[in-house]
Amino acid sequence: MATTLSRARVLVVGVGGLGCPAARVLAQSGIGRLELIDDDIVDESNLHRQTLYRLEDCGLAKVRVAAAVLQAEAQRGGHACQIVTREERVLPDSASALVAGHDVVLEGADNFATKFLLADACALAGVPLVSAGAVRWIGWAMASRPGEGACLRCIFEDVPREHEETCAAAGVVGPVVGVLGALSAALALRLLHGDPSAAGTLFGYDGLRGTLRERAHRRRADCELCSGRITDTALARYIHATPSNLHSSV
Amino acid sequence: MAVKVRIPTPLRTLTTGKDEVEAKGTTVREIIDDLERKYPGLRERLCDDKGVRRFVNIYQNEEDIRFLDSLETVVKDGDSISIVPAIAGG
Repeated sequence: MATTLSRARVLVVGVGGLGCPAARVLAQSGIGRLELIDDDIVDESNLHRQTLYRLEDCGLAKVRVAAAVLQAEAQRGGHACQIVTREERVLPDSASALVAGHDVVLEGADNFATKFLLADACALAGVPLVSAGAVRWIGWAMASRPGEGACLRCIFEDVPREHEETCAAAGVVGPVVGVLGALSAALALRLLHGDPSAAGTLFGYDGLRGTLRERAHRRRADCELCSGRITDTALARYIHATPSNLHSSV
Repeated sequence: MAVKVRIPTPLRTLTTGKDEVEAKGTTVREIIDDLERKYPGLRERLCDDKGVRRFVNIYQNEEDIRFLDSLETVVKDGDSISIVPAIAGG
């Protein structure tokens, strides 16, 4: 079912490399309310890919800088988008409340635990989700709609326990998160428009090859989330999900 | 039976930087065995003792092998195999 855009409430988790371009598109798309969650501060190492921030913003809270830029841009464009900020991390005990009441959640978190936590919390709350990730020159994005088609756990079953490679350690190039952030925003808008084909397709972008591949996924019969075996967001489910290492963005 | 295997960036350290390599075999399992012979360490990144690792997807052409015959999926000449690991950065 389509959501009237001017009444739409979208939550962006992580205003980093993926969240910056996604939020920029969404704030000027005509949606009514955009909520930003991130507990990080702007660092000089972010600037090449997190395009809402400038050198003089270093040390300031990302959500505050992002909100000011987005609000100004939206006003210049004639869009009455209300922008709300939360300077905090999404944690297992807060995730359900944070996603509730939104029409779409878009996450650009930099760690698997937060991605799986949000996949679970959104499915349990009945909120559509757009997830994305990127490292070096490659990345992915997908949308999922609760109760329909494949979810994140249908594709990447569980939080990886080893060989985890994040952009903090391996780096990520600006164009890759730019492409995938914009693609994530497009998926979010398609979900808001009620496009049933928006969900369940895994998009893979390879910046070195210049290719965008899409693979339609089916729901996996033994998916723990889709089969109803996951009924809460208990901390133990996210092995890395401790308050000290659960981050909301790059 | 020779097929092309697309190697994602995080695993290219094991393939001397190559983003696409050739491997021989009649099933995905044999393809992975051949890859391991040529690029030691690759199998451990793709599989554990239960099969394909839970956070790695392997596609025959564009189909997830979980929905085919998993490691026993038969490959044909000219098929392409793609490896897509979960990536968390943003």
